[in-house]
Amino acid sequence: MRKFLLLLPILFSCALIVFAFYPEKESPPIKVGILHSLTGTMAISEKPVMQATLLAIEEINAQGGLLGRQIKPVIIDGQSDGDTFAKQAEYLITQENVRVIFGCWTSASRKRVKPIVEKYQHLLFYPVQYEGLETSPNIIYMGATPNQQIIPAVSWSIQEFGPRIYLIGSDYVFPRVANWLINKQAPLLQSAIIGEHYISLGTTDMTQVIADLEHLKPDVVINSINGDSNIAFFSALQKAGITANDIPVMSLSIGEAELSKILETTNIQGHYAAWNYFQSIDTPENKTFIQTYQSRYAKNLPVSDPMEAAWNGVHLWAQAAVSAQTDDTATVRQTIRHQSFTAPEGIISVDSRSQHTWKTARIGQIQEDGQFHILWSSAQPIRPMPYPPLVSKQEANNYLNQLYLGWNKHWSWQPPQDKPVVQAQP
Amino acid sequence: MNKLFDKLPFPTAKLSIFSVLMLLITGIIIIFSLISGWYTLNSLKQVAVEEKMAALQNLADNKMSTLNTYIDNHLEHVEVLSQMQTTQLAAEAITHAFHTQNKNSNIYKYVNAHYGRFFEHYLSSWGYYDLILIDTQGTIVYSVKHESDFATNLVHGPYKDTGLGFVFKQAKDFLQTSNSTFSYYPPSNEPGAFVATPIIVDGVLFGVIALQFDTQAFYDEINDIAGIGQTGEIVTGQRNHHEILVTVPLRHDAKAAFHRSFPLNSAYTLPIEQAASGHTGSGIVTDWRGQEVIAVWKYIPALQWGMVVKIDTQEAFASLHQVQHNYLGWIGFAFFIIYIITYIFTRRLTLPLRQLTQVTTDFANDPNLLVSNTNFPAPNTCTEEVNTLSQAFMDMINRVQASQHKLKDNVVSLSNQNIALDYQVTEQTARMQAVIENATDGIITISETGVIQSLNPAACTIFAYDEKELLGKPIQQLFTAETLDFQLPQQNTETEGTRKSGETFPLEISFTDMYVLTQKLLLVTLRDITQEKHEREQLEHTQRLESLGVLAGGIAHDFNNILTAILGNAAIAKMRTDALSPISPMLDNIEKSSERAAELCKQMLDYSGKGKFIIKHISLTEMIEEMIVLLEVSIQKNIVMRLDLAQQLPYIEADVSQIQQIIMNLIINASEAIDKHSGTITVYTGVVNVSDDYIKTTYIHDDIQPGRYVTLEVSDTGCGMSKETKKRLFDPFFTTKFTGRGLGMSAILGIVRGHKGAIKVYSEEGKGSSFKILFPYATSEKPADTTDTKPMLQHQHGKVLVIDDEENVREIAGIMLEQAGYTVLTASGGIEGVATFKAQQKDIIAVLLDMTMPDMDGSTVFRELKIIQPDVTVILSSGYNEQDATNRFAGKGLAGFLQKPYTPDALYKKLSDALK
Repeated sequence: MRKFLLLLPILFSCALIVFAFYPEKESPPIKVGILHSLTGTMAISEKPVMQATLLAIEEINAQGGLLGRQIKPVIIDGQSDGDTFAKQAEYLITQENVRVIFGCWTSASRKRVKPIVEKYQHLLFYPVQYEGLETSPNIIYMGATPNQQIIPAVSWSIQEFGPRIYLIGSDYVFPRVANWLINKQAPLLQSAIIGEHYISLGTTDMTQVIADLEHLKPDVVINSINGDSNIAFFSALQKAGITANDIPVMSLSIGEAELSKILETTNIQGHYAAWNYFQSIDTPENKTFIQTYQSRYAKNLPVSDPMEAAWNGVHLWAQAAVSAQTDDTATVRQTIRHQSFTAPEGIISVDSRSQHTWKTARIGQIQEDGQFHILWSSAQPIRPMPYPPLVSKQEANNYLNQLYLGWNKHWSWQPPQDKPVVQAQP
Repeated sequence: MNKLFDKLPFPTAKLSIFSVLMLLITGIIIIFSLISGWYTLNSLKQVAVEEKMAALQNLADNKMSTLNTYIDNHLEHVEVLSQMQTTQLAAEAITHAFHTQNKNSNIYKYVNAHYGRFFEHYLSSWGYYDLILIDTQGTIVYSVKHESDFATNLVHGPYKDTGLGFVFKQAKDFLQTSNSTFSYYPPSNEPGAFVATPIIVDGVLFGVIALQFDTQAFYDEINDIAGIGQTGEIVTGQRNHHEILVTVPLRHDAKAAFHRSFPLNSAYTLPIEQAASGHTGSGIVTDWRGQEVIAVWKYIPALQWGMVVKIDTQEAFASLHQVQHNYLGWIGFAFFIIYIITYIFTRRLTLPLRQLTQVTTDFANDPNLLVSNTNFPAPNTCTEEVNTLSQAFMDMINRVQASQHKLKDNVVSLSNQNIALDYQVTEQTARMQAVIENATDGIITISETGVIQSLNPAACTIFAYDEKELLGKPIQQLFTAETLDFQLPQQNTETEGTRKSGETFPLEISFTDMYVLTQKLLLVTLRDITQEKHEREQLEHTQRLESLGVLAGGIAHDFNNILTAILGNAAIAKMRTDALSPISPMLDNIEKSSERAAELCKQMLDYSGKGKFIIKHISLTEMIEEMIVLLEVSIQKNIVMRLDLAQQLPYIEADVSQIQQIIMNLIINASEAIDKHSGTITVYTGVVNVSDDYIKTTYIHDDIQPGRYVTLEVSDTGCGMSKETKKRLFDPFFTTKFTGRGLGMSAILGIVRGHKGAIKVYSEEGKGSSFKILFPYATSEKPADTTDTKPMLQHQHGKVLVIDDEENVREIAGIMLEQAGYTVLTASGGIEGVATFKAQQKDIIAVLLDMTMPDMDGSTVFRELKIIQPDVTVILSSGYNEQDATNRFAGKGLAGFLQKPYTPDALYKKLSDALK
C-alpha cells in the first residue's frame, strides 16, 4: 500500500505527460476529397488530373504533412455524370467530413457541385479553364477565365494572321460562351467572324467545316472543339490539304494530353493553342514538377494545364491552411483569398475578389514532338475576370440561361431522341 | 550525488544532511523554477509571436484588401468613367479635335475647355493625379495635367514602355480594364501607376481612357501603419532583374521608394525578396536593416509587388520583457519564502538527527559508553523514520551498554582466569623446566638433521660439555658409533658416548619423534649407565659367589657328615686299637687326613658364610700384635712389613680364628704378589667414617650402612692385579698360583660377609694392591672370658635318642655314645624320631637331632618334642655352622649345638654340658 502511494505521483506525472503529448502524436489525418470521373467518357481526361492532385498531397505528406498531420485523400468517382458529382460531393462533405474538395472538369459537373458546396459553405478547387460568367465564394477557380485565355488568343490571332475569323466548336456551353465572347471582341479589333460552326460532341463528320473553310478561306480558325472530334477535324484538314500555313488553327481545348492522341494519326504541326501552362515552360519549378510527376506515375506522360492547375490548387490550399493554422474550411476560405504561389507556370495568386487566379496567358505552337513552342506570353499575370468587360453580368446570365433552356435544361446540346446525357469538356 | 558534492569546492569535505537537503530542495526549486519559467516564457513568447504574427497577418490582409480595393476602385472608376456618355462624347470629340487641330486649333481648345472641366472635376473629386485619353492609334489626345506625354504615341512613342503604355495595350488589344504597377513615369517625374479601359461605343472601340494614380495618396494609403507599433514598417518591392526595388517610402527610410534596392541572390533571402517572388509567409527574420523582426509577407498580384509587414522583435517582446522581469521578481520572492520554509522544515526534520548525531558522538567518545536518556530529548519531528531511528538508537545504546557491562564482567572474569592460567602455566612450565633440568637423564632435542636444539643440564653433565658448546652442533659428535641412526625411534638402546675429554662410556639412549607446533623434532633421552653397569656386574658377581657359596656349603655339609663317620670310626678304632699296633699310625693318618678334609670343609663353609662362628669382642690391633711373629715368619725375607696400627681401636664382634685367617691370607697373598722383589707390606688398622658413595665402591655392601667402621688395610708394593684378575678376585677356585686351591680370597669374602663388613680393593698393575676391610663396631659389651676346659670322658648312662637321616652318622653317633655308656636309640627321620621319643620319653635324657632331614626338618621335630615334653634336652647337630643353625631355634630352649663332623670328645663335652 505504501509503495503504491509512493508510485502514485509517478503514475500521475506519467499520465500528465501522456495526456499532454498524446493528441499531437496521434492527431488524425486531414481528410480531403478528390472528386473526378474515374469511369465514363471523362475518365481519360480526369484521371491524370486526379493523379496530379494526389501527387501534390503525397508531396505535402512526405514533407511531414500539413500542420503536423497527414493528409488523407478520399477519392470518389464522379462517373462522368453531373448527378453523381452532386451526390458524391454531398457525400464527401457530410459523410466523409472532408475539409476541401479537389475536383470536377466539365462545367456541367461544376455547375452541379456548386450549389452543394455553397449549401454546406464548403470549398471546391476547380482546376480547369472555363467559360467564366460565374463566381462562387465556395469555389476557387484555378483555371483560366476567358480574359486569360480566349481573349488574348483571339487578339493575338488577329494580330498575327488577320481579321477574318472562323469559329468552330463543340455544341455545349464552353464553346458557345467562348464564341459568343469572341463575337463581341472581334469587331472591336477591326476583325470579323466570317463563319461559325458547331458540331455535336463526338461528331466525326467534318465535310461542312472543310467546305466552309475551303470556301471562306479565313485568316484563322478559332477551334473550341472538345474531345475526339478534334482528331476528325485535323484529319479532315490534312485530307483536304489545308496546312497551318494555309489556315492556322488556334485551339482552345487541345492540351499536351489531347495532342499526343491526335498526333498518333494526324500531323497537326504548326497549329496553335492557347493555355496558361505548357509542359515546355522553362522554369525550375516546372522542371521539378514534371520530373516528380513522371517519376511518380510513368515516364514521358504528358503534363497539361488542368493537371498543373490541380496540383497548384492543393498547394495553395495547404498554404492557406498553414496561414490559417487550421484545416477548418471556413477559416481556410478566408486565408485562401490572399495566397500567392510560385507555380510551374510562374507566380499565381488568388484574386481576393473573384476567387479566380491571376494567371499568365500563353500561346504555343504545336511541335513535332507533341510539345508546344511558346510564342507569346502576357507581360504579367492577368487579372482574372469571370465577367469580361465586353459583356455585362446581366447580359451574360441571360445568355447562359438561354443556352440552358435551349438545351432542354442541360449544359450541352441534346440529341432530339433524348438519349442519356453525354458529358463533355467545358 | 556524493561524488558530485565531493567534486564541488565546498569548504567542508562532507556536508551535513541539513546542507544536502537545503541544497537539494533549493536546487530543485531553482532548477524547476528556471525551467518552468524558461518554458513559460518561451510559451509566452511563442504565443506573443503567434499573436503578433496573427495581428501582422491581419494587418497585411487588411492592407492587401485596402490596396486591392484601392486598385479595384480605380478599375471600377475608370470603367464607370469609360461608360459615361460624357466621356464617350468627350473622347470622340477630343480625338477628332486632336486630329484636326492642325487645321483648326481652336476646335481642340474648345473641346478641351468644354470637357476639361468635367475631367478636372472628376480628378479632384476622386483623387487622381491625371486623366488621359488615348486614341486607338496610341496617341495621347488628352491629358488633364498636360505633361510632356501629351501628344506622344504609346505604340511607338517615348513612353510606350511605361505603365501607361502597358495599360493602353491591355485595353486596346485585349479590351481589358487593367492597372499598371508603379514605376517611374518621366513626364510626371515621379513614380506613376495607371488604370485604363477601352472606350467602346456601340461596339466600336473609340480609344482608351486612363487614370494616373495619385502616388502620394497611394503612399499615404499604404503607409498608414496604425496599429503596427513604434517600429512597425510596411515594405513593398518588386522584382527588377537582379534586384528588389523598394516601391514605397519606408518608415526607416523616407526616400526609399524607387531609390533603395536589395540585390537578389544575396546570402540571406530577405522577406521582401520572398514576397516579390510570389511566396507568402511569416516568421522571425532579419530585415533589410539587419534588425530582427516579426514579419508577414505577401504577394500583391495587382502590382506584382511583394509586401512585408513587420515589427521589431524588441518592441514585440517588450511586454514579454516586462513579464520576464515580473517573473524573476516573483521567482526571487517565492524563492525567498520557499527557502525560509525549507529552512524551517529541514531544520525541524534534521534537528533530531543532529541531536542523535551529537548523542552518538558523545556516546562514541565516552570511554565508558555511557549516555543517559536525559541528554537526548524525545524526538519531536513529523517524520516517522526519525522517531523510529531515535527510539531504535536509544534501544541500541541500552543494549550496547548492557552487553558492555556483560563484556566487562566477562573481561574481569577472563582476566582472573587468565591470571590463574598464567600462574598454572608458569608453574607448569617451571615444573617442566625443573623436571627437565633436574632430570638425571640427559634430554636433548635435535632437528631432523641431527642438529642439537636444546639440552638439559643432565645431558651437559653426562657429556661434560657446556650447554653453549653443544647447541647447534650435530649430535653425532657425542657418540662413538659412527652411524647412529637417530631417524628411527629407538627405546633404551645401549650405545657408547664420548665425553668432552674423549672418555667413552656406556649410555642408554632413546629417540622419540615429537612435534613442536608443526616442526618435527627428535627427543633424545639418555642415561649414563656406567655406574649401573658396574653395579649390575657386581651384583651378578655377588650372586655367582652366593650360588657358589651355597654349593660349597652343601658339599661341605655332606663332606662333614661323611667325615663325622670317618673321623668317628677312626677315633673309635684308635681307641679300641693298641697304640703300638701297626694299624695305629694308619688310623692316625686317617684321623689327620680326615681333619685336613674337615679343615677344607671348614674353609668352604667359611666362604659360604656358614662356617662355625664363635663371636667374641676382639681388637684388631691387639690381634695383629699377637700374630706378628707368626706373620713375619710367613712372609719372605726380602719383604719389609710395616705396621700402622691404631691403639684403642674399638672392639669388633668377630670370630677370632676367621679374622686370623683373613689376616694370614692377606699377608700371604701380599707376600706372594711381591714375590722375589723387595717390597713393603703395610698393615693398617684404624677407624674410618664411610659415606654411602664410598660403600658403593666396596664389595658386599648390601647391608652396610654409612657410618664409622673399624678398618683393616693390607697393602703391598707388589705386581698388582690386572683388570681381569680383579674382576674374578673373589671367585672360588680362581687362582693365579700354581698350587693354590683358589679358596683363600673367597673365604675372606665369606668371612667378611659373615661379619657384616665390607671389603674394598685398590690395585694398580705393576704398582701394588691394597685390601681394605671394614668391620662394624661391636654392639654389646665385651663379656667376661670363659675358660674352655677340655671335657673328660666319663662313663655316663641314660638313653640318648639320635635322630639323623644319615645312617653312617646314626651309627657312629650310636657307637660314640655307647662308648661313653649311654644307651642309644636311633631314628632314621623326624617322624620316626618323634614317635620313638613319645614312646620312651621318660627314659630319654637327651636327643641328638640332625638339622636337615627329608621327611621332617630339625626345627619341626624340635617343636614336636617340646610339645611332648617341654623340658626336653635337644642338641642340634649340623654340617652348617652353629650361628646359622641356632638362629632358627633362638629362645626355644635348645640345649646345644654340635658342629659336624664332631669328634667323640666334642660329643661327650656337648652332651655333658647339656645335661648339667
